[in-house]
Amino acid sequence: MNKLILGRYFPGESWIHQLDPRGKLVAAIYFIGILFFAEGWIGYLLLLGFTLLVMQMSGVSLKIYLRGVRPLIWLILFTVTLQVLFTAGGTIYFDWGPFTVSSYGLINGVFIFLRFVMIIFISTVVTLTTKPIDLTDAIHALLRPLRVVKVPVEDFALMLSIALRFIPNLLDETQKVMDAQRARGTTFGEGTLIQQMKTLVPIVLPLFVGSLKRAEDMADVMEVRGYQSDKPRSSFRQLTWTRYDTVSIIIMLLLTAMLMLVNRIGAYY
Amino acid sequence: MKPTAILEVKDLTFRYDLRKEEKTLSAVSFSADPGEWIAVVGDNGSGKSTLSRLLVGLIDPEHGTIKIDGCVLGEQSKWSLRQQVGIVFQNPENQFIGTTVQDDVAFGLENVNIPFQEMKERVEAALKLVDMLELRDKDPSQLSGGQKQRVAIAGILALQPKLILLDEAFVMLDPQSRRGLFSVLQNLRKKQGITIISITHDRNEAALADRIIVMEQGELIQVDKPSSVFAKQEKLDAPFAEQLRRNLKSCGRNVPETYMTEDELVEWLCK
Ligand SMILES: Nc1ncnc2c1ncn2[C@@H]1O[C@H](COP(=O)(O)OP(=O)(O)O)[C@@H](O)[C@H]1O
Ligand SMILES: [Mg+2]
Repeated sequence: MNKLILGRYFPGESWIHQLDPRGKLVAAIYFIGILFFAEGWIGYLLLLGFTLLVMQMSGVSLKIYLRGVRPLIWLILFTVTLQVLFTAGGTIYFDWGPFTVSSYGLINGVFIFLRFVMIIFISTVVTLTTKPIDLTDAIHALLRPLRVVKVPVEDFALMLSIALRFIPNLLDETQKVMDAQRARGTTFGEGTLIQQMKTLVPIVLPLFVGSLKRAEDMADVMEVRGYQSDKPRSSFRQLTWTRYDTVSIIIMLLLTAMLMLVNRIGAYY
Repeated sequence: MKPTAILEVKDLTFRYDLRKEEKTLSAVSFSADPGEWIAVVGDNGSGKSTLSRLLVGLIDPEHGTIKIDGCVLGEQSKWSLRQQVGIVFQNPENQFIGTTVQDDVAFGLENVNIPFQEMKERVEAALKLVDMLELRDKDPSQLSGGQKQRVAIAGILALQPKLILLDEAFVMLDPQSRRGLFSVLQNLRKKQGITIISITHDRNEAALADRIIVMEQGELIQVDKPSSVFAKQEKLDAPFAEQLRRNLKSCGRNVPETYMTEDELVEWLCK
């Protein structure tokens, strides 16, 4: 469980940590958007440089970011390989039936690889530097316009925050149940796949029952503490937009302008 | 003139399983005055928690009525009445809704749409009362059971209800914080006239209540002053002073026949 980096928060004091989660989220989504407009080497290098700069500023070590890429590396390599094999054009180095390895294919492959890695890096920057609950609040704030079309945004945000609050409990309980089963002589991770799956049943079942009981208790607590889904609620956590957030949005716009310019220049070569 | 009761329970009957004859609660009636502290005692399974769930409208009685502050508890009225009744349940883990201590205390205030500034003040005041102000940014996985119970109590105090129900809400606390919280609640009761109904297994705590309700197998078998309850209910573990008196008596000492509080006993012993 400790291997999963995406979705974990690393406390810190960096500039990026202190940005408003709404601004951070919008900027990250925007950045991922403009990734698709990069053309040519210079454009990709510009965006990569920006990504590395942001990662550096977050104060989290590169190793952690690389660990974030690891679980997805096979998916990335697979996509890149397909891209390389099915793009034709330029010098052809190798040709075998429908597969060709060409200079265009290789360049495209590298671009796709970079794009993937940058998407992962930038999303990791957001999740590493923002408390999950702040992220929930940001999503809540950004989805708020959907209330007009009767989407229960408030309920959704509360649901998300409660889910986040219970993840550590669930991990704890899994550990407890596993220990209890071990004490009764179960060994995990041994035997055939079927045998391994069988050892999981006595873990999943108690967890499931426990979660149901908990959900019931919590629903009661929410009810007696006055939660009604259709009533207006005030919010204790306040998000504050500062100058830095405005600056970060301006930086994104500047980056876009630079990318356009670089694309233009690239077109002449 | 007697003040009008904050809580009036009449002929309350309840069954979890309607197919069975056996009732979880049968014909329970009592009332509570503003500012009163009532302890509810009884064996496990005697229906104490069920009674508390009925009182906040989580379950509906088969018979009988519950009146809170003169208003009958029902489908329509329960939402507004819940602003006057706070309940702290047994299990502090599942009561923690917020991601941090202060978020959890604020949850009830958010629900009644209290503006931010006032909310902040009330959350701080409530956390100070239960001595958790320094830990307000902690999340539940960093807290002990007793600390979570204190947060749950703060969540209720922040709402400033007229009636507080405590369902074994002190069990995970160490004796010192138990005494601390006890005196906080006593103070609120004296200053603001809050009524407290506390389900407890602690006889010494029950002995300090104004009245004790004794439950047995879903029936209310006695409601009276602690002195009369401990004198009559031989089965109940008596508080320390009463046990001492009984022991002295069985050793053949010439002690008074009736129940004595700790102070009375000390006075008598010093004579
Ligand atoms: N949700 C439930 N469904 C069915 N029976 C229940 C439920 N909760 C409690 N009971 C039964 O009701 C009786 C009273 O329980 P409870 O009010 O929790 O007692 P106490 O709090 O005094 O220990 C017990 O016999 C218990 O088994
Ligand atoms: Mg109980």
